[in-house]
Amino acid sequence: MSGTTFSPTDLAHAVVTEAPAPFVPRKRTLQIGTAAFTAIWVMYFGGLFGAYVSARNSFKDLQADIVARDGGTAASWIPDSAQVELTAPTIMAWTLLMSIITMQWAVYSFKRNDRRHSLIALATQAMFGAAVINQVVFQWNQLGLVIDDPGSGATPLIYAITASHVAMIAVALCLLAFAAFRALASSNTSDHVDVAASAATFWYAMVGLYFVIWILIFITK
Amino acid sequence: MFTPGFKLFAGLATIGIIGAFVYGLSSGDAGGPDYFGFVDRNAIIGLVSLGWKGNVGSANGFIVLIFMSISAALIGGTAVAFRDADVESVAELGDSASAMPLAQRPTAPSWWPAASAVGLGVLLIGLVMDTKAFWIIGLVLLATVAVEWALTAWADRSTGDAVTNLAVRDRVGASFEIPLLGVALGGVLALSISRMFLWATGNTAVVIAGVLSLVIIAVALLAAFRPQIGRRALGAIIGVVSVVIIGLGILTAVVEPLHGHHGDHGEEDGEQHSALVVLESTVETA
Repeated sequence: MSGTTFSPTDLAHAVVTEAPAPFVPRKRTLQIGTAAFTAIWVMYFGGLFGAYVSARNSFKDLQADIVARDGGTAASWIPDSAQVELTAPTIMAWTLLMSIITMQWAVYSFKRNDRRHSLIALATQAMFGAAVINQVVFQWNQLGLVIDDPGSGATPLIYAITASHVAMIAVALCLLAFAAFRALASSNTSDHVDVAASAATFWYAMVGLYFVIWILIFITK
Repeated sequence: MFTPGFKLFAGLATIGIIGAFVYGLSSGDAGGPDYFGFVDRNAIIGLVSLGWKGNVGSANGFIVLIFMSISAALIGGTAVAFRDADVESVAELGDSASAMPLAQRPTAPSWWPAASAVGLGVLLIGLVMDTKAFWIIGLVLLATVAVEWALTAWADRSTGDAVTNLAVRDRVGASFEIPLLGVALGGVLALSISRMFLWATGNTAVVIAGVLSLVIIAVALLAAFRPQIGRRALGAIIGVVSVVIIGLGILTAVVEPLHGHHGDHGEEDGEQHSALVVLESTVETA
């Protein structure tokens, strides 16, 4: 394996020491694969954003026509009953911004073969991810939107977009778990820097997509 | 300088950007040209600011084309950064730039991708139908697949010998798989037996309990006094008994309970009902 010798009486390792050395996994293929996987998510969100903006524009055009014809006040795209506050989305945005630094800390630690800091960084990263999911659930409760409300076209789209982003965070957390498993199972974390870097690529895309959601749904409403 | 992968995806990204602008201009209605007879200022501002100010025409197509461009740029940028992950570039990472890395030998067929698809399907069905049991089973299945798949992937890289890798995988995996599976099987069997007791009346439940006890004693005696029958044969017997018990448990869970037919038949049935209640409470307590 890595030049380590074991006692002949060490039955736990005897079978491994007699086996041929493993093939060295090819680097870089994982990064290319992860880029393609991330691109799938980006395209998926592109479709959702397109549907959201298109539906919102149609709704506003229709409302403008109604107001021009009948007078009165135009109905709002997001129902008035919903409590849309910026606090939670902004906290999530800052949380994700901070997570960029800790993600890079994890990659750097993997590269330096620093297992302890790799695991601490990944655990911190997972905490940020869990915190964002917690905030999203809080925000869903705060919004008070009913997903099958027939009077609102915005509600199902808002839930589709935000729930998809939660799913993306969950996938990113799984990638972090795989990286942590590699760090725990390997004697040399620098052999697995491609795993950490791939998880980072996906994480950064997730953060970038959140900022689009932040602007699209909560800032411009 | 530029790799084939980069050229392909950079081209796609460029087409996406150009397509988005052309689509935004052609599908918009910004009120006519401001300059040179064809430049619409409002439309140009809308396209350049990605819709922040001004008009982008039909937003759906424009955004999809922009995101297509971003996706292609992501893959293209990664491809050029990692030189398409081709063999020559990977060789440069090794000790000797001229030595090509060995291709990883094919690993054994794995059930985990299919199991993850099943887990995801069950999870989604549970969420859509609001059936808690389904989505919990889906989550458990996905968590199991994540652990097992990661373990298998790790073991496949342990040595250059597939048999040794399997032994390494089993050595690590068995330490938690066997206890967990034992607990899970015990729980399912207890649940199945409880369904049978809940289905049966007092005397029938006693008969069922007696038969089950005899079967368990018979298998235990067989294992104790006939060790030469072998591990596989014993495993098969236990497997068949377990399947029969679980099958009967499922059957009795969906069939109408026996005491439902005897509800109004006097004191004797009243006693049976009392016995059933006592039995039910005993099972629930257990």
